[in-house]
Amino acid sequence: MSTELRSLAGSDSADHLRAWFGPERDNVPRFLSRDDCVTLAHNVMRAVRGDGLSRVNIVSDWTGEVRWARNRAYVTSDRRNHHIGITRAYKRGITVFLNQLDEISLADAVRRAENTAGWGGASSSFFAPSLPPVNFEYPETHIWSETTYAQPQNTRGAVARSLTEAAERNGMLSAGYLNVAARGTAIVDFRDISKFLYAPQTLAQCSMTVRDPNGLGSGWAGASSYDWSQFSPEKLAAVALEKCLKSRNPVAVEPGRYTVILEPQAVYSFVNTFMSHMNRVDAELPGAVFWSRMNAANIQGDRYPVSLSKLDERIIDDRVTIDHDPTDPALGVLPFSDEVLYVEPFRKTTWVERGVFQTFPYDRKYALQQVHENRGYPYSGSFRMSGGPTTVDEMIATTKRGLLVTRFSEMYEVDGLSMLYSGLTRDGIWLIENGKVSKSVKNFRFTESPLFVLNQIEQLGVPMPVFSPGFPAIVPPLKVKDFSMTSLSDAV
Amino acid sequence: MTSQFTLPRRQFLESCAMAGAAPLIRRIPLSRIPLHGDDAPVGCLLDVTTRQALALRAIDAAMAAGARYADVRLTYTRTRSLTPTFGESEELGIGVRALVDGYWGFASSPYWAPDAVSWLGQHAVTQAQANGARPVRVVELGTIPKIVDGSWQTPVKIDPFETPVEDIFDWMAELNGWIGAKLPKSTETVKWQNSIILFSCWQQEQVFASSEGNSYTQKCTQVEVEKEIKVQDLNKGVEIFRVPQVWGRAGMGVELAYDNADAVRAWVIQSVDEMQQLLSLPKKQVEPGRSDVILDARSMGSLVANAFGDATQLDRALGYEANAGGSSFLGPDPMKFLGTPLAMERVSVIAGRSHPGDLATVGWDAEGTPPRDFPLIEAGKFVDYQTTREQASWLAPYYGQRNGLVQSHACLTARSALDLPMQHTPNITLSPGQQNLQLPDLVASMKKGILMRNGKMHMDFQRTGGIADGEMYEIKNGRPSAILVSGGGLFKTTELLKNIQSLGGVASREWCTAESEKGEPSQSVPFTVWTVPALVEQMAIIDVTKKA
Repeated sequence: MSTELRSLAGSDSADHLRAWFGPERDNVPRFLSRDDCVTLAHNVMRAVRGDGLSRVNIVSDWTGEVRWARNRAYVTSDRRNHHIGITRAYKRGITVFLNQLDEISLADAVRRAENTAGWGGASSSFFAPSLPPVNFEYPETHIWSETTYAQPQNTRGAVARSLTEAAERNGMLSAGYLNVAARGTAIVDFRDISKFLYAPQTLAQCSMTVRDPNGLGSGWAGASSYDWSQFSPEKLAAVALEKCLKSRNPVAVEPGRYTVILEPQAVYSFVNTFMSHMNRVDAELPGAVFWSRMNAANIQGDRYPVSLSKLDERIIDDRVTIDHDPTDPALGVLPFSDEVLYVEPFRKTTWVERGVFQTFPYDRKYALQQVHENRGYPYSGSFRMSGGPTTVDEMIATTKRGLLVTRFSEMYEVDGLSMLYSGLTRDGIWLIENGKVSKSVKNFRFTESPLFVLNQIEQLGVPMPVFSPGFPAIVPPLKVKDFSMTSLSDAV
Repeated sequence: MTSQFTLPRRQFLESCAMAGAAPLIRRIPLSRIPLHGDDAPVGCLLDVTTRQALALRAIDAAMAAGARYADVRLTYTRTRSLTPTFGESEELGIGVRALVDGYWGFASSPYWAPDAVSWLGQHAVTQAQANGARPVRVVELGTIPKIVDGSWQTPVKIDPFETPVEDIFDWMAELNGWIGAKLPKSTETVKWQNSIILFSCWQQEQVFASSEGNSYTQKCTQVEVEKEIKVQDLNKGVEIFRVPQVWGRAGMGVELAYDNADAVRAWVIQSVDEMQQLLSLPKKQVEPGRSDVILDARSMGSLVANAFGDATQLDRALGYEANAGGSSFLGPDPMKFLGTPLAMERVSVIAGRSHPGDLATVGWDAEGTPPRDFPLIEAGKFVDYQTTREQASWLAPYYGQRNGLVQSHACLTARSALDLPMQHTPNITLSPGQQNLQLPDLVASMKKGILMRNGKMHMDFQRTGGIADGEMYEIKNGRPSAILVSGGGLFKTTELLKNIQSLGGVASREWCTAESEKGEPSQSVPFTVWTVPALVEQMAIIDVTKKA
């Protein structure tokens, strides 16, 4: 029954790949190194027949994680995978994906890409000559933490165990998730194999929800970073437990317009939504689609010339600046957009400066036509929002009547034209009366617009990192007036 | 008519011959680079016997390392999409679950090789043991029927991966050309849009083995065919779209596309007619208040998927998803809800993984349980949750009261071997009403009320309620009289379920696709929902764009 198998080719260059899945040793790599990727790329190159363009994208992933619920670590996992995209193009091109490293599978994938490169016609595949090379310079970003990568597996288990202890002592139920992950990303364009991109990164996150066993209260806290030491799981557990205990037995208060004090995680939901509108690429209905006019690059055809966009106009509160410096140690991202085809390096960008809209992301096509440059301007998904000097306690003390909000649930778009969204508050909301937190209240459904929120700011606090795995963001707490809570919800 | 997409077949084959490769009909890896004398097959070329040997090796390693129970899945997954962009992917995976002292460990990797799978089995046990000092727990897995070398595959008439791609492109081009010709001409103010036909397919070969001696192989196939017709009245600021109810994502082959072509043609004619009539109606701002509402089958599908599909997941009800999607209004204590009336007596909901053509249909679930339909709601009473082997034992007291059988409902699923198997929603069916009513009948007998088409239910994280958001029409004396704008239905789930006054009959049944999204990291697994249209009394209607 035991046919001897070799999953990897017998050539010497592949021998070191074999160690990848060997017995657990400290020095066994969990994802593909730069040298591994070079070997893989050479194997692909050997399989290429004929001319035309070739490119290979290699992403290898490892995740070590623990998930717990009802105060016990339910499952601990170690998952690994590769995503290898092989692109071949003559006039038109195609990318095929596989996750195997051996020469036969790679050669087979190359062959399939070559056979199908012409399929689908104009709308269905990309036009090869317009595919940019990947030999650009890219910034050095803070995305690798050696200590995070070297974290012993038992640490994760022990941490998860300790996080549930306080909840258990207080008769509450903790559910949560933590992980440490590592990823190697490589992009090789065979037009110039000497200059290929490779970036290893680590990722870590920890979040938990503590709930009353009778369903009468819930509290949440979470953090994420490329570096495990940047957050304290114990502090998160303490916050989640305290919010849970203080949120029990909520009372109903009337829907209406409220002054709200939004913790950074709640602010992040709105600002992230706001930024994603800037990055949208659809503008089907003509007319006053706010962001279509703002972002001329999103425009199909010539319907909206740049003159109609809101560049250089003040669109939100003038105390707000939203920017991203990829080399910022607190905001490290992969230094290039990891699209399969149109890879561009991220640049230090100010998207909004003191409320004034500065620039928008655009693709290479727009760049060539409008900006006369041969590179696009991608949005990294990561940002820093400026803040102010007011602490949350000061915000509370200066509020006659308002609500303190931990975070929001997922929101859905009610109306894209006015950027109107609806969602719910979640995991801790309290009434503030005469400068003090007075009681826990039931969750609300809100109907509100990020644009409105960012124009109704009364006070800003000190910006801090929020829970946003993979896309670091630094966001302040805000006091916002006239926030629209439209109906009560029974959800806890 | 020559398609814009394809070369004439002979020319294509010739060009392949010139490139030195085989045509796309059968995947054969040619151009093998010499492997220094080694011709052993690898990866997806391994035959079933070899794959099973690998599976047993992983189990043996896990048991030798100290597991009480272990199971393993090997999957070879292929996907191909034809439109909007042509793409192909292949993925191999192996995943081992190990149970040690009542804690689960899971390890997965892309390597199908003897050393690799032994290591993986051992590594899954290492995971389970890496929990720090913790009290030993008892996990009851119950028993399942023995399967030795079981074998199942999705019944498929035309295998999508054996069908020449150009044939499908030709067929799509011809049908879509016909459809385009049937749409009215767009004007300056009224734009008709004929979407392309989306076509993609997914196929997975699975090998399963467990330390209890169970083993099976499965080959699952799914095909997705989507089409949309849309009309926009730019002056009115109104948009209406329709999708054919005979297409979507299903567990079958290309016959999903071909066999329903005539039905789609009929649908086009009928839809264009309906859309033109609706477009001619005056626009009206919605009046907040209470109103009877007819929800079409697709709107009911969204309700059923959210309210029943999510809320009756036992682990969700007990708080296992609290840090992710949320929990359930049918919790936190299941015993308080089982056996209580949840809906009108006429409402029954059945779940299962056996119906041919449905997305969650399998021969056995991810841990070897054979599926059998089970009721979630019986004559309005809530009677059961979705369970796996471990979870069924959590309801042992309840099952003991009913019929004594503690049995998994076969809901364990992993989209591939690389993912942790989890309890996911099976296919769900809302039983049709007794009378022979269809949507037009429900509309015709409505004196005054609202019709909702293509509704989506945006629900809260416990599914206690939400907003119904879709195309809304005012109905007067049995006919649509106005397009309602900015409207939505604000509802509490239990109240809505108790206000379902009538249900469409068997002839009004429609199916649609829903996603079971849960887990950390998030997993998304599709399932099929069968529903009928329904008349709901006195739903709260609001202007969704109105702020407080």
